[in-house]
Amino acid sequence: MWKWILMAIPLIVAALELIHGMLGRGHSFVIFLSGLGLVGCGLGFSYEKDWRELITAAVLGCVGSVIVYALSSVSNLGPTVASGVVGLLASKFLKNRYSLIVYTGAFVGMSSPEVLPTIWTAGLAGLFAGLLYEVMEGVWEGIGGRLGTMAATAVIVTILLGVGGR
Amino acid sequence: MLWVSFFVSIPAGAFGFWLRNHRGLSSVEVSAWIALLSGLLLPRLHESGIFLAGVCTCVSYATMSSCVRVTNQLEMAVVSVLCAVIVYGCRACLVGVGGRLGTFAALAVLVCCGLINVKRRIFHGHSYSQSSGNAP
Repeated sequence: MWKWILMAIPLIVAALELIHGMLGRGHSFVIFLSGLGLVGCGLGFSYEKDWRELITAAVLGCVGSVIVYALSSVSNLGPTVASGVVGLLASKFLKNRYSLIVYTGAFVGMSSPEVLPTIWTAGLAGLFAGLLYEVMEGVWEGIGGRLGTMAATAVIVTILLGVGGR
Repeated sequence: MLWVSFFVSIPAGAFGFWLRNHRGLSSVEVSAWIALLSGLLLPRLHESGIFLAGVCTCVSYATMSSCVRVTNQLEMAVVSVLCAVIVYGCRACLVGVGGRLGTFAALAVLVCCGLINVKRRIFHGHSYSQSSGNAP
């Protein structure tokens, strides 16, 4: 249940923006409510798999995010092209599972500098995205856009932490 | 602009579905190729090219769906149209947030799965999970 609430955060925020035109930190209220739900539902959370996998996922997410952020902001490639390049390279050189994690991080790196002002914040959000990928196994399985939703959740959580912009 | 986006989203979805199911490319490869090509070509070909590239990229994320969720080209076309409508309708939502297009793609796939489920319940009297072999 708590995983579904976490995955729904970007959709809730988007719906609120559509209906009320809420901006930036105004989302905090929604996320606070979602957080309450998480605490309520996730008290029984336990991570049963290898912790090294979790750390690997976090690092790969961070790497994907930082590379795309750097490519899109420094080289003026644009976020779409930058994420495509990183996705292709990841699928070429990494195992399928790891390429998916790097691609999740790449989505985070597509954030604009107004949302994630520095490469460090992009890296932090990418780290969250990698963790989410590992923890959210089985949620929305087979749904295209699942990785992007995780990335959006990670970015919103980073904004909420006060590290991001807006 | 919405109508134009259908003309790029449907072929992008069909191309992605074909690559994924008939050429054996991984989901990341398919999505990355479509995102890369649309990001490079469309802004140079059309005045609304950046928006159209966004639509194609959103569709590319939807093509990452498994063949259990999106089973044929017709369903992929429906998902592609939904992606275009959602990207157009929600262009003021989650601006600048990474993963925004993926979220829209997920919404489109979920809506499509829901519509298929409703259709099957109405016309065939059984649910999506039963038809996909997950029934007890």
